Amino acid sequence: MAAFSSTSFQQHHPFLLDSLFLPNSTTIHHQNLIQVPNMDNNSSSIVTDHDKHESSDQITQNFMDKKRKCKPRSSANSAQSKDKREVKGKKQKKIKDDEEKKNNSKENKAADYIHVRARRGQATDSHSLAERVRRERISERMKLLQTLVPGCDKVTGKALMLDEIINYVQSLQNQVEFLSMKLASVNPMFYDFGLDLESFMVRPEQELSDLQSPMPSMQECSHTTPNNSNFIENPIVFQPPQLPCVLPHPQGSRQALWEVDEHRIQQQPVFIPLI
Amino acid sequence: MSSLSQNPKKTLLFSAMKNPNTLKKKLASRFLKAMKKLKYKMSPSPPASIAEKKRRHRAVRAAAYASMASAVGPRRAWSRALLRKMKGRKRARRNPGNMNTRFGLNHLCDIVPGGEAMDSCSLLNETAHYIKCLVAQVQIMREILHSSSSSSTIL
Repeated sequence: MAAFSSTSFQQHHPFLLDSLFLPNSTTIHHQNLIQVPNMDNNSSSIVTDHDKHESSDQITQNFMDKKRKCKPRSSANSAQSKDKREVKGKKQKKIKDDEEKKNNSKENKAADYIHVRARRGQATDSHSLAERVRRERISERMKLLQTLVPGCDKVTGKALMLDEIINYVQSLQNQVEFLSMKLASVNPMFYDFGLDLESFMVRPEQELSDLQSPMPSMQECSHTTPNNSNFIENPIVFQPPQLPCVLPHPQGSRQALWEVDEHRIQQQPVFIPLI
Repeated sequence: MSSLSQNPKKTLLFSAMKNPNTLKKKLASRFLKAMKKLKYKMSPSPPASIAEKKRRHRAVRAAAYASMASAVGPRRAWSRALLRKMKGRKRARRNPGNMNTRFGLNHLCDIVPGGEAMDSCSLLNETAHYIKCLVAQVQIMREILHSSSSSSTIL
């Protein structure tokens, strides 16, 4: 009995693992699945014969019998469902084979048992294919967000990452809130103070076109250059918390920002070749 | 740079990263214009009462968000939603649902403007862009505050 079961499942395994010749293997696979119930029926009959002879082990044998009966049912079910699918659409099967060929080329690189199992369940269904694509896209976006949000790449798991992102967005919104409060408390006489700032925002812009020099001179007046380098580097380097303080210290914060930026720019030649 | 071109995703990212520079410039100019407008609206004295303070605070905040949204333009969902909200603010205001029971993406929907009508994929996309803009805005506001405080101390 044990021998039967082991042989039947050994026949299973190679086809599950073997993803090299799938168009062939699927057909063989069906035959194999269809054969399985018959063999198991034989085995169960043998077992019952054994039962008659050996009454002492009856309970255990019965238990085993139940187990054995469960297995053939499941395999028979799967075989029936496979047959139904085959009957349903041979056109679909052609498409399926093409898809499986495509998948094969990917999976040959990393032949995984889990991958194959998942594909058996999913590949036939267009919905599941779309779902898989969607999931991939979402994970891509999550990676992009991970580069944007500081401290997010230490966290594992999507839920925690989302929490981190939400916290970050909320903190940024709070900062805007706070800064607007600060700005509102400033005397409105100074509201157009920044127009000179605007005028020299143009200058660093022109410098940016030849920003390839690793160490632009850090003057107080160049406002956009360091931040721009921030943006360029964001996806590459792990970003130390860029806006650490909710309360900006009017003297110290900017100095701190410059220092961080300088530090990062010094790192730049190290990190860019790694991309 | 040659190594960048080998990876298409990274080059895409890199080209996307080029934008914030111009975006930040746009943002700054818009915000400064808005502040200048505000200056003409307000009385030149510093805010006296708490209500006046609150009003100014709201005005500056609105200016900040509006300048952010208008700098981005209508090609992003969040900026569209923000502008729509600003226009319709006086007319109708929906009270938000129970915020305590919302987690994860649902919570993100509430935070990102216009997030209610998005699927999760585009929501994450919008969130990324929104974060970038918020960071830029915060930097600009900080610089303005700093320069104003320094100029006020000089005067």
